[in-house]
Amino acid sequence: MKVYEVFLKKAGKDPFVHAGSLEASDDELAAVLGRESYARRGEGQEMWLVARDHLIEVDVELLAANADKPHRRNDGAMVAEHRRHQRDP
Amino acid sequence: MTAAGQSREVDALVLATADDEMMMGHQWSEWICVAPFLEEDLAVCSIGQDELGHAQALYSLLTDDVDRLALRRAPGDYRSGWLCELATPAWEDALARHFLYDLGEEERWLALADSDPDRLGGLAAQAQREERYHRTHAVSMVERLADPGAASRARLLNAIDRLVPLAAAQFDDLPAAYPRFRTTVDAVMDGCGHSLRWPAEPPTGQGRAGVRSSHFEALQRRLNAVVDLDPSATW
Repeated sequence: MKVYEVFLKKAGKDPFVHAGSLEASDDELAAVLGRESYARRGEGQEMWLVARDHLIEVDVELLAANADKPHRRNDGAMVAEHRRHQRDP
Repeated sequence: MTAAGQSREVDALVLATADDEMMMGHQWSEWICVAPFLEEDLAVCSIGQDELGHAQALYSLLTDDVDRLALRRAPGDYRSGWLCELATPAWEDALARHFLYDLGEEERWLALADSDPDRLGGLAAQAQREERYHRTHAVSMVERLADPGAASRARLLNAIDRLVPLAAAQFDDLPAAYPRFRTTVDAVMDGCGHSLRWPAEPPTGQGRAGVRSSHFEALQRRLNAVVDLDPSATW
């Protein structure tokens, strides 16, 4: 059995979103089982199945944010601080 | 044939198909949580739910009290095929029956749609959309599990061999469609390098004739387990 990752796309402009995973012996059976496992209630109009073996997993270390570059974080903290200062100097 | 005679014949076909569908729907419900793997569990309980929906739609053409007609008849008034009454505690038997039943069911829906297009055409078209999935599922599973390299091959093909006479008897009331059903099944079996021994004609004197199999009594008891607690309750 192989593990497949399931992606669903609703009608319209929404992108494909990861919905979960399933086990099947091969691609064709994965498609047969994908429908009942993830789309029987019309959760998606289109489905992608990707064998987990084909996913490229990125090293967590590579993703970690640089601690010394807070200006790259657009979380609004600096603007909030600025406003607070304006309002209540 | 008179119009009344024709309509009685159509009603008999509707009733037998409804009984088959209800039995099959219930049979699948008994696999909930115990199918071999989660994805199969979801697939077969969904297929069972489809079958129950078809049974309900067909019964409601015959009565306003679907539950009563479906559950409370005398055994001799049922018309289900013995294939559908059979208890299948082994997965290969459940799968073999799924394959033979659902490939045969296509013929019944075609016959129903033909027999009375105004009353049954729409329902048959809707059911066939769902049945297409059932057949795809059944054939996909059979092709894989009967693969020459698969350990399951002998078990599954033996189960199909055993059930062939019952699958043929499904056509007791629809003999004209029997050859086409055999051709459809044989095409899949050919692909698996296996051939089946079919009776020349559908066996008679079984479920369609009102004769119940040895499995019926226990099945009907299970079907009625909840209703029997309080038959007068309103749901």
